Amino acid sequence: MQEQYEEILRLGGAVLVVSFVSPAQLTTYLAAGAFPFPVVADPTRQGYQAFGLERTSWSAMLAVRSVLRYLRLILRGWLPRRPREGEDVLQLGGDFVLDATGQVVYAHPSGEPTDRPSVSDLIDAVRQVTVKKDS
Amino acid sequence: MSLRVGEHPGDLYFIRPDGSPVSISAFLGRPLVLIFLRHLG
Repeated sequence: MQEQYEEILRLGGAVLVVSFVSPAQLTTYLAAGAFPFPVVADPTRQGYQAFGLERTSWSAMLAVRSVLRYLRLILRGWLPRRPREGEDVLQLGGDFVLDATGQVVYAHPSGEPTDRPSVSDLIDAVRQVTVKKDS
Repeated sequence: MSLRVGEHPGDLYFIRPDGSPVSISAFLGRPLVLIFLRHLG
């Protein structure tokens, strides 16, 4: 993660991570480990709503495709855990890249809970913005 | 509907861990990778 973050910085980019938990919960979580990039709270989920990130359903969470993806993650060493207080397991996330003016140049809203792009896809999107700016 | 390529999210405010508000514009001026989490950790 550190190496990939440094690549984004080398390309002239930045990273911002958003969570919908309260600032107090975020502070507790961040105290447990250092993050090289800023993490902010969006407890009203206005950012989530602005980017069209919705809540999924239990039926979608338990769909065969999602269960198989979770099984693959477990086989790679990820372990499921009980949700913390305030966490909404049905809230979907998403990954976006914005250019310097705030225009969306890459959008990957999660279609289901395990649906995230690769970090290399995000780095490529930052690279394309940088190349476009320099040309 | 999800925000699409070419669109702008508008002025959004988030809250730093210390409780202070911060606008998304504070992070613009260069390409920004914006990651919305499902859960912490």
